[in-house]
Amino acid sequence: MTKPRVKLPDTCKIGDIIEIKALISHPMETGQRRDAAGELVPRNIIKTFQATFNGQPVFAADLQPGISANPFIAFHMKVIGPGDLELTWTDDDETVLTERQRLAPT
Amino acid sequence: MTRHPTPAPPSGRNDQTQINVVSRRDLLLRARTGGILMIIAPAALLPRAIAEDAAVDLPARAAVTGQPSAEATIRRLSRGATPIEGKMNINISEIAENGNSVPFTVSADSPMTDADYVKSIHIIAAGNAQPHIGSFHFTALSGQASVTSRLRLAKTQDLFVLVEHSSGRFVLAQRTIKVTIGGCGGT
Repeated sequence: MTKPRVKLPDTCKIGDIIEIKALISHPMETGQRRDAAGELVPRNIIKTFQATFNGQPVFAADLQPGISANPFIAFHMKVIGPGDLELTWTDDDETVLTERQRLAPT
Repeated sequence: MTRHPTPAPPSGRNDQTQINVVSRRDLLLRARTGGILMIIAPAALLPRAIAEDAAVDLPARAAVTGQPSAEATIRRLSRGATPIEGKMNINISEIAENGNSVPFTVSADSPMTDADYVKSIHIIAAGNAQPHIGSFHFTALSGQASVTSRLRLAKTQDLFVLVEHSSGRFVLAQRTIKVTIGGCGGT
């Protein structure tokens, strides 16, 4: 799980509803695939994704193996003021990756 | 996959072909004790007797793989409530060329206030080995109940979207997606 890429609008105003796009590299192994030797590849997926703004929950996702590799998730948020947007991905290995972005509405 | 050798019964066909005949009972027992992924092996790899048996007894597949059906998944996610038909927007192509990555956007109309908002959007693919694709949860701070992502589809199948409102109301919609090349590591 590497390289989270998060895209926020360049500018926004208080009261706007903005779209946030998040992409991360991850194989999302389903646990059903076999390698060349015929052995099952153990399941390893990103289980959860969470987004908070100044600590308040905005959006969350429970993912299953049916989500494609390198999960892309886009969701919306109401701009209530300046603050920090925190995005967290957690996978089956309990690897946690957090990305923080500053939001400064004009 | 570990397949324990089982003595072949003294039938002529099996003696000649030298394949380990696993009875359906053995198979089910083993499946229950953890070797569940055996079922996912292509049918061609299994002894013919099992492949034929499985073909006759397909409804048992869900029980053998330990994966619930789409219906059971919807029932679990709606916690027993009966979903009604209602407004939602599902944006997904009707024909998916590559089942490994099918983009979709789902949104539901809602004022998204603390009193009345969409709690969750659940995606269920009836034809996948594991029908539950994901659940997306919203709050009033989301502003809009809308999510975009990419999912895997093993084959041509029905996709269900279940929207859970804060009032406890569930809304269900269905789309049929044609898949040219299946995903889910089917090769």
